[in-house]
Amino acid sequence: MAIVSTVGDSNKDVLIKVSDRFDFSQYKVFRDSYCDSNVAGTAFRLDLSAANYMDSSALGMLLLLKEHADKINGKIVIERPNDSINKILEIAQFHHLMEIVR
Amino acid sequence: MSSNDRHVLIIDADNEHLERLAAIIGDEGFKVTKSNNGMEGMVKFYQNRPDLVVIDYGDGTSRLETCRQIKALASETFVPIIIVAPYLNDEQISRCIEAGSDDIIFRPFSMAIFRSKIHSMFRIGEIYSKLYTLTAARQNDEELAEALFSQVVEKGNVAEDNIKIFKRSAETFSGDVQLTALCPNGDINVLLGDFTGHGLSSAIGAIPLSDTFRAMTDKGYSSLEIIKQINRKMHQLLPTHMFLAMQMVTLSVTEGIAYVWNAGMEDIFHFDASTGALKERICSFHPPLGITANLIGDMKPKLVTLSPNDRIIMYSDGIVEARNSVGEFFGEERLISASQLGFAHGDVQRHIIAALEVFCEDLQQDDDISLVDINCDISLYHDLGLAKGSERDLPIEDTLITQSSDFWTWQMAISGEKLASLNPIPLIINQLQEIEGPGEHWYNLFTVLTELYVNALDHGVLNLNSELKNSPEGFASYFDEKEVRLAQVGDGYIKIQLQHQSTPSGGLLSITLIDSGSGFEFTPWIEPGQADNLGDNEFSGRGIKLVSGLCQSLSYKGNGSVVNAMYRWDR
Repeated sequence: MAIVSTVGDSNKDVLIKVSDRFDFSQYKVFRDSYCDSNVAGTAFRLDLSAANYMDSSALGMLLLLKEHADKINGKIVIERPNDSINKILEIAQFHHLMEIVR
Repeated sequence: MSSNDRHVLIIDADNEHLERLAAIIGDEGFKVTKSNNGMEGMVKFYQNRPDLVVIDYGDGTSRLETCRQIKALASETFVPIIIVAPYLNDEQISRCIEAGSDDIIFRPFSMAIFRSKIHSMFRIGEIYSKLYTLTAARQNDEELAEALFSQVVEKGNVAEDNIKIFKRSAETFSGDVQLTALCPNGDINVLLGDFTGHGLSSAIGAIPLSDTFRAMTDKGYSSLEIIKQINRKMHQLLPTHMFLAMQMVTLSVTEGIAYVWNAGMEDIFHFDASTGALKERICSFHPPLGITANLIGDMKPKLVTLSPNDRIIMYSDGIVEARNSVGEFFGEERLISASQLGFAHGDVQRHIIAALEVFCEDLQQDDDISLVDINCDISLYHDLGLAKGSERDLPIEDTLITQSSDFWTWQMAISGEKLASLNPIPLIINQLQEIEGPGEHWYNLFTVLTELYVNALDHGVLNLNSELKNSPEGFASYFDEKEVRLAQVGDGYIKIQLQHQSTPSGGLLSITLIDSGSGFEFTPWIEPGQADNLGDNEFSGRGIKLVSGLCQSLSYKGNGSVVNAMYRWDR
């Protein structure tokens, strides 16, 4: 599976791990990975360490996740993007919009 | 389609087999056409246009040829073919598939299996026909959008000889937008935008984008104001996951500098074309537009000082992310070397595209490709501004203030923090156009008002010394200092008064600006004979020289804190 999500014991911690290509083909699976997590204050951690490609529609998908997190007063953290994905995030200046941890 | 409408053609040399198959298919409620040889089968196919063909394997070769020909006759319509055969070896099976057969059923088979295969083929056929309809509809929409796009969005670009634009779409319709437009003062705005995705969905924003860009450029709004408004529009318009990555360059013909913006796109390159040296890169400093309701933080353009040999190259990620057969990216380095080769041979665009094509060979392109090559020799653009302006030297006929019915006055005062945030010039021009109607004669007036206002603000209210602007480096520190002083402007104010008297051919406008400053050293710039001594490379003083050239008269009072200009216009 290219996208696997794990919900923590407290229900307020969701870890989403994306592998291989993070692009439009993952749209539905990605959305399904978080849309049922509606507990206020949920922290969504997006582990990109195993992803090797990301396109602009994936940036759009991050914005949808952010919108969902904002709605429930939660937050999102992008974790360990590789160099090429980090470059995409940097060009898009996404650190202004969400936390990115290398 | 109900089963009664479905039509099956059976080709089998063995009459017993033929009748048996026909009976099974007929029992399912399908219409059946029978044939016991390939040639006749093809004719019947052509006459009856069946939805499915069942063929016996027969001798192999000639049947497979029938199979091929039927597929060719079906052309873009999907007509499934099932081959009925005794045991076949691997090679024979693959030859059947190559010939266009969609399934093979081996003898002996049960009636149940045969029926299932027929139904399964019809199901696949339905998917194909839906896909075909959808593709045709989409293609139609895209062609329409493409036509609209080239007619509405990109029509009206200016300076095409010196701002070269190349575009190649991944699909018929492109998510990339390239626009150029002329400001009232002769400056030129160049915009390269890349909407998320491709195809029709990425085009939703293109028309409002180009409308906003053109209308605001035309009215003389600053690039910051234009970008703020585009951001606002895109935020309202685009769904959450869509946005607009965008670069904008304002070539300031009067100042000899470029104001450069980069919101979420690849680095912009600033080259010296005579040496090929890459002087500067302007990387993205803001997220793409349309994501947040307002721009993030204190967004300011990068200032680039221009020399006549300079070139600015803007491009979309489709170029650097184009891949070759082993999956490597074209990348920045190849783009830079191709540009340098292009400068040396006088054709940047052709060299970049050639390098890209050699690199990618015949591989299909995944993304839109856009390239904008701006020649930064500002003298090339002077004529554009003048062509748009009106005749300058007109004799004085009337004097103002005759208090006839054709007379009006208009004034406004701006003070405190508004001085930092409000640009009154577009408001004034709008006001004038409301009263006196639109026209090209306002372009020069725009320059006059801007120069007078900037002088009143910078040298009057803010008391900035324009000598700072004598060097390119000073230019930046001048703007930094301006920001600092604007933040502490306190009770400072500027009053603007317009008095207008109609004349038979147009009107005479008296413009008065009063500022709260203690005046500034204005005499050297407007004394007769002095103004002409100013070299074109000087960074200051040209403003007043320009204004006095465009107006009938220009006079300063109160040490320079009161200025009056008389501007005459004709229809």
